[in-house]
Amino acid sequence: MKIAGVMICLTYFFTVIGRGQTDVFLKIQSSETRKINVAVSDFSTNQNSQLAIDLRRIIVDNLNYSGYLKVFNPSPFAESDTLIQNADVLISGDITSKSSYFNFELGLTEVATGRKLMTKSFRSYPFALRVLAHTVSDEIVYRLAGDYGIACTKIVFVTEQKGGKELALMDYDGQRITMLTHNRSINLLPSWSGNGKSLLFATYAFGNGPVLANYDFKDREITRFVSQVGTFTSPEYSPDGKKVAFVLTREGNSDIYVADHDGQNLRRLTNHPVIDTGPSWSPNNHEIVFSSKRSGSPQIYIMDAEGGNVRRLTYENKYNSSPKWSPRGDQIAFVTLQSGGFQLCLIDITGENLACLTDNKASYESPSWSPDGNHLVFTSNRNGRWEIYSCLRDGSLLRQLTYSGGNTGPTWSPRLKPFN
Amino acid sequence: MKKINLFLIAVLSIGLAFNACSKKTAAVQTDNRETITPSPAQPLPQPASTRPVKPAVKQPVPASEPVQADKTDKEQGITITTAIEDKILQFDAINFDYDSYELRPDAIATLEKIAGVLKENPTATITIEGHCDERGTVEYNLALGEQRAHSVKTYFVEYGLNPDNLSTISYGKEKPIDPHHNEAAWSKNRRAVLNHNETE
Repeated sequence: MKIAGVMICLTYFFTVIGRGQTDVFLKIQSSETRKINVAVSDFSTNQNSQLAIDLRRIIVDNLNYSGYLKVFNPSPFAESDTLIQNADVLISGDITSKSSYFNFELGLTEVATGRKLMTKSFRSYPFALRVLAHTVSDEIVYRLAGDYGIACTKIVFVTEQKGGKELALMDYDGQRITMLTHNRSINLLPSWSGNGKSLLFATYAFGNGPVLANYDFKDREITRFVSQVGTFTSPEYSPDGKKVAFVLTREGNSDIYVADHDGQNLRRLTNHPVIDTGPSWSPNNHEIVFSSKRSGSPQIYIMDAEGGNVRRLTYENKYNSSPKWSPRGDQIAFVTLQSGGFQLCLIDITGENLACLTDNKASYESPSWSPDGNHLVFTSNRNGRWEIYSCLRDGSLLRQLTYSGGNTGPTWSPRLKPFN
Repeated sequence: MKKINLFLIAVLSIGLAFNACSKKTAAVQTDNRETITPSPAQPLPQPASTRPVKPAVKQPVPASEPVQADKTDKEQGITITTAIEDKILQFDAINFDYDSYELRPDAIATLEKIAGVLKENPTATITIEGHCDERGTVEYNLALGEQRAHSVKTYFVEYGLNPDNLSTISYGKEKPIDPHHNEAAWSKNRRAVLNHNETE
């Protein structure tokens, strides 16, 4: 009965907030961490009521998507004793419009005691509304849940264009898509640097097969990374930014190498005649998870960050690939090939608790973790075309982020200072 | 499409005749070069028997196969480049089994014929592409495509071709030729493609 009630509430929220995606493809039990119930009052304002409405709407959307909070009665807000009784925290806001900018005063109140948990002032501009909403949301989540939210994060992905596949950037909620590359070549497998200032990716733009290139967000420049003979794919910065793991192919054989962050000092980590690919670092930089066919079928393995001590992680199913180590350190996300296509799965780093999140009615590929390890972004053809989706790590809160088709290979940014 | 195939076969047979003629009398060579009439001067089987390799065309092409006069001119007047492209293009595709880079017997048969053509053009440089179907992840398929291209290159090198003239490139699953989601499409996409590089 309780579960039914929760599902009804969640469905209501999805209908109001989501973009029409009301189905939850949850296959595992959701973790029973209780979400913090919040109520968000209509923001008072001295002038621009539309600004207040939009700001509130984006904040509510962000809070619901954080995975930590549950917003009651998002819209419209009815001042009601019953509702406030159901919320742990009341969030209020006031906008004071000035000539070209406005002040936003945020207040958090503990409902039971009336105690003021937080007040904070922000100055912003109408054109920076989204940035303000995201900043405010992340601060609320930090104050209430102890961890910064992901509203200020971004996602880079691969999008099909005339002439090839280009890299594009968007907000974590699919807004403000911009193109990063325009070289009319094939650009793939982007990886964020730990400070969020650049990307490493594989590109055919230099001719003669894929090599690694660096994209700098400030300069908007692309430069060659590592000039050696061979083809390079699958780059991944270490979390501490000191090293880069990648795949180098020579004479048809693909193996995993590591280099310093400046591309110097290449070291070979695997030395196997079969495919070794898809390296991903543990958050403590000590280990690397990767995919290898050394057992006869593609499976997931873990090794030390300098190679050696290889141990196998997956034993079920015939094709396991694209592993990504959770920033929380405890789980690996990966894909497994089943009858309907690739499915998204999680496994503990001990090899236990294998759980698949998706419905085997479509293909799901290229998972990437949010920096708080609470969400996953991936690509799927479940709607007929390849689009980017995100979800909570239990499979709930599925949200479609792109709508133009041909969108694949997403990678979630680290925590960022809000920019733009 | 059929017309072009027949044309290419004819062009190839002219080319073969030309190549085979190096072992024959100069008179025959000269004849071939000066021939402007549609039909090739040599009947097909004869030049084939002088070559150490099996004939490159499967069906016996009638010697009287009509060839447009201007195209024959073009074939003989233009650089070797076009001839090689045409020769390579007319062969079957080189396909692979799922998640495999082993050369199947049908692939080997095709490669043998192509190798023969390339052997006759020792300065030609070729790029070997490796491709995969969609039932693999992006990074895994880039590696598998490399294996497929390398497989073909290894065959050519063992055949006796110069490895310096052979480069490989993988496109993983990024450039399928058939966008459908069935085995017919997938088997076409699991392929190696040969491109002749324009002479610098």
